[in-house]
Amino acid sequence: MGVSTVPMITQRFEELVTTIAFKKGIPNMRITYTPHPITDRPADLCREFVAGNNPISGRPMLEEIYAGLTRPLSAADSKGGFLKRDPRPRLLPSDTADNLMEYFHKHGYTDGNPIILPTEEKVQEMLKATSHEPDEWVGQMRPSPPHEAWYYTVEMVAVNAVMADAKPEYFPVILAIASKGVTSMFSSTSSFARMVVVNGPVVKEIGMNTGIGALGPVNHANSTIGRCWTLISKNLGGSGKPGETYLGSQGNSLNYNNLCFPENEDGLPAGWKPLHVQKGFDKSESVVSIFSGWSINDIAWYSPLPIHEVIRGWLEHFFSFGTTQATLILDPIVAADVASNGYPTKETFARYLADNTGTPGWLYWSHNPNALEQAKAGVEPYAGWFKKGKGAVVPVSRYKGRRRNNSNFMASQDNNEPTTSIEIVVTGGGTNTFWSGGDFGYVGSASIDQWR
Amino acid sequence: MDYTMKHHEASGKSSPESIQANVSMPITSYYKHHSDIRKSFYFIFKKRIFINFISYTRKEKPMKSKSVCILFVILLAAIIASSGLASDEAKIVVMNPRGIQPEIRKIPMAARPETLDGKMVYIVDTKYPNTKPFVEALHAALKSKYPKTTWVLRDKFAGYMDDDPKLWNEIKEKGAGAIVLLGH
Repeated sequence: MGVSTVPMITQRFEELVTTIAFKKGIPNMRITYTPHPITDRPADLCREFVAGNNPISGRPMLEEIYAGLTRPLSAADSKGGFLKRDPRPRLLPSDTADNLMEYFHKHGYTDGNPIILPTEEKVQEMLKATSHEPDEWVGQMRPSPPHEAWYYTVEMVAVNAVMADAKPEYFPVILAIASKGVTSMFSSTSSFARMVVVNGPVVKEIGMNTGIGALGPVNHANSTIGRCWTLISKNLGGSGKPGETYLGSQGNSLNYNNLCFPENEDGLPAGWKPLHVQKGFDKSESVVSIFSGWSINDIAWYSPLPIHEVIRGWLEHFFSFGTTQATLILDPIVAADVASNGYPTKETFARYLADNTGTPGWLYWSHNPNALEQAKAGVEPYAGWFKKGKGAVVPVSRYKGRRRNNSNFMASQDNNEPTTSIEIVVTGGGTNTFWSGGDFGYVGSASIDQWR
Repeated sequence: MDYTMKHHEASGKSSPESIQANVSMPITSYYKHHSDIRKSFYFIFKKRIFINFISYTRKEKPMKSKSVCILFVILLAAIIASSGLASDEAKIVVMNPRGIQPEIRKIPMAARPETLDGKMVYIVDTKYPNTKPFVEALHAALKSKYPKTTWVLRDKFAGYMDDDPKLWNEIKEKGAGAIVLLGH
């Protein structure tokens, strides 16, 4: 901006902002910290905070701000140039296997579980599974938009694939995921999760599980490919250091495997297209599709209602951080039931759901303060809805509108604009009429075949 | 590839970090001088027990001074042999799993005015949810404490993650300073 500036941040993020200030090239940025949190604090308490001290420096907050805006710059403050980064040797110093395992854990190179140590021999074997050169750039990845992006080659992805115990034949799938440049450990206080769905011939070629337990830890390919995405996100995308490049307050256990599963294309009802075909790929292509969200519900429920109505009811009341997008993961027998109830395609079912779900009143009014003001002023239709009480469902769908198209925020490289914000994927072994659903939104897809 | 670390005196610690930080020799040599020697002595100890056991079972009479010399030579050979073998077997080289960090171009900080008296300073609210009471309290307190400065409270465009170049240009044109608040 070129103007004397003092940012104010709550004290909880000191480590984060110090690191980001360094990475942005202003290591001596004059930051004033406030107590944490300041959100949802009453006005009296806020006045106390302002009249008090910076909890980090111990100096009076107002005086520190004034000084930060007026104190003359040092020679270092005014200087340009480049800041020094740590060197990156291709090989690490030799050591015993036990010591190296400990070294990898201590430096945050793992997910906390044991890894396969990436010797040159193992990495060479992995590299044989792709025609791409080891030094070819695959992409860049960052923990979240304010952070710097790290860059990586085919060989660097192979190192992480070895660590995850992936077999070489899985490597093109892993490269396709890495090519999207989407971190699986998005750094937000809200503890994001990711999901990756695999479609096409590669599913059978590498033995992924589309049947019983497709979402569970029962298949080597499903497990290691999903795990590898997290290792890539930490080691090649710079994510995962708590307080600095990862801020999820509670974290998210889905990050261990990122809900990696294939669609059960053989289990799709007639007329229901596989996910990758919906996204514009040929059925014969192998494709990974990436989703972003926070949580998933596993719904095991018998009802005298038709199943499409049960799903509609769940969707209407489902609540989490992401309340305007949803992904349904249907068991093949649930998909068959839905189809036989009059929904010949995934799209028609998604349309029915988007058009026939309202929003719980408490959620609607808390998300739409302007509508609440108009309701209180007697403006229709808000006033009529409000009269029914905060518990009543407001007839406004959360799933009709277009998703937020901010490629930086969601790290998407696509410009996909679905007609609804509901996605439907089919997987599972058909042992019961159960299904899963969550607040995941589609981010983008990548060809696996291009990485063979 | 150069694996020699910075020149420091060895600290005596044996963790990978201390090795990285402190050793003044190639890391392979460091281990030859420490952990592998311990392993060699352990090997010799086992060897000696074995030799004594053989002697006992054969009911041989020990020939004192000659036997000691022979035993010493054997032990010495064992030290040399086991030291090399153990280190070769125990150590492996692995590849770095990390990606490439970009270079950082340092940005000189904006010049500071000597005083803010008679000048305008913007307080930019990035509109993190439910933090307005704090922003307003700050605005009021600054106005009260520094009345000779004009403190202007402005909301940034759109959400807290969005850029607002129009506002930045306005501040550059009219302001002597800015306070930018991010909530939580």
